[in-house]
Amino acid sequence: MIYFDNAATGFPKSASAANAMRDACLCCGNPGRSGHLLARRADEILYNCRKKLASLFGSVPERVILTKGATEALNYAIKGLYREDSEVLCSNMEHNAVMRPLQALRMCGEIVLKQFRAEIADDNVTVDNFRLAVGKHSDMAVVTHASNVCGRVLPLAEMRAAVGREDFLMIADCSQTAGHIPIDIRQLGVDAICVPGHKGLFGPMGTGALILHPDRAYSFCTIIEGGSGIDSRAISMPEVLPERLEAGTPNVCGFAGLCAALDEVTFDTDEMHLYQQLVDGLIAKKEIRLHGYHAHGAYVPTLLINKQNRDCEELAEYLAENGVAVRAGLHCAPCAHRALGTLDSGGVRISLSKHNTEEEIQRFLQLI
Amino acid sequence: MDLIFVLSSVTYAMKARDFLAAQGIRSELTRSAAIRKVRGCGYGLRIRTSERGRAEQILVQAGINILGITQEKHA
Repeated sequence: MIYFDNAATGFPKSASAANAMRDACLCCGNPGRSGHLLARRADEILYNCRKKLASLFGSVPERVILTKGATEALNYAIKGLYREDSEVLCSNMEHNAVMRPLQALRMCGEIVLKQFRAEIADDNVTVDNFRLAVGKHSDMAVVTHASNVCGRVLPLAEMRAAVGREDFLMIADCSQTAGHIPIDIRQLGVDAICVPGHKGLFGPMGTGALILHPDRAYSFCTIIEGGSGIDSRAISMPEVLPERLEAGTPNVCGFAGLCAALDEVTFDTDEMHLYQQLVDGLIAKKEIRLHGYHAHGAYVPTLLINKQNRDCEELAEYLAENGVAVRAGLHCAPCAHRALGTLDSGGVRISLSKHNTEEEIQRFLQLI
Repeated sequence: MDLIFVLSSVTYAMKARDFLAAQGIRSELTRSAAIRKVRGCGYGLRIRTSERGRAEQILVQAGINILGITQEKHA
């Protein structure tokens, strides 16, 4: 199997991640509720996972909220931080994990939603478009760090700097960049980054995190309420983070796996060399069209293609029959496909990881 | 007698434990009954009475809020 579907989930997971999950399953109690040995083991796992995520993304452990994925993290950030009647911005490259929470708020009359255009060919235009879209009633933006459809990285740090206003909140969807490129929340300048544990970080599915800027104060509305292991007499969730946003029993086994996987994160440039080989090989084929690619843009190793006179699902099926895993269709990002001109056709997404090889690229180029 | 530093949450208790350990102060995570006197239920750190002053100073410098300090008899 040649696995080119890493934007959906990183594969293969490591043996150490799987072993850590098994050990947690066999040896842990419920964290944050009790003082006995099994509960303590679970506490240590969660805390170590927070510490490693904080270290990786430039925050502190108490500003790492463990979630079941980036979608949940985005929902917590968006619905927990928006201000009523405010104008919220997003790009035209967003995944439904951003669009649907925003649309839900818009349809309830809670926010006004405004999209700005990310320009594939020129970051300066993207920054200008964003700056011009920010009005006096705008107080939040939710923006993807890299498109899950075409892999284009957006210039978030420059965008945040262009706004200037300190009270302007910016949430970054780092689903496709976490584990692929180094991210420091202070350098990015954003307030919150939302990451899945199971994609570029190679943890198990069902894990993710909302990571907050370590030096800024936030007041979160809760979306889910329940047991937190502290302040049990209070009728509402505790004010203190991360517990305020972590009602109920967490996925200790999953976070044990993620904690182990985080030890193996490397920002190896090999995957981008392979990506460039793939791009060059595909550009040389007349019947293949690349969407959303520009030679001078920044990318994670994900690209979108179509083949002349071939439906994208048929092409993906043909590749699957020949041992290549890719994803076809709209990739839960219809607005990004609209922006790329592929809303009607869809496309075949190829997404690489550090585990791919040159031989796999060559085999794929022969097959396609 | 030991002292219990009552902290906001298990996360802060573990963070505090790490800060103290880095300065050579041994502490132990606890859900001691003494904590209930301060905040119903929650987490604290058990430390030796003789370390109180230095431990408080370290945690205040680290920005960790100590909700209360209670005494606990040795078991």
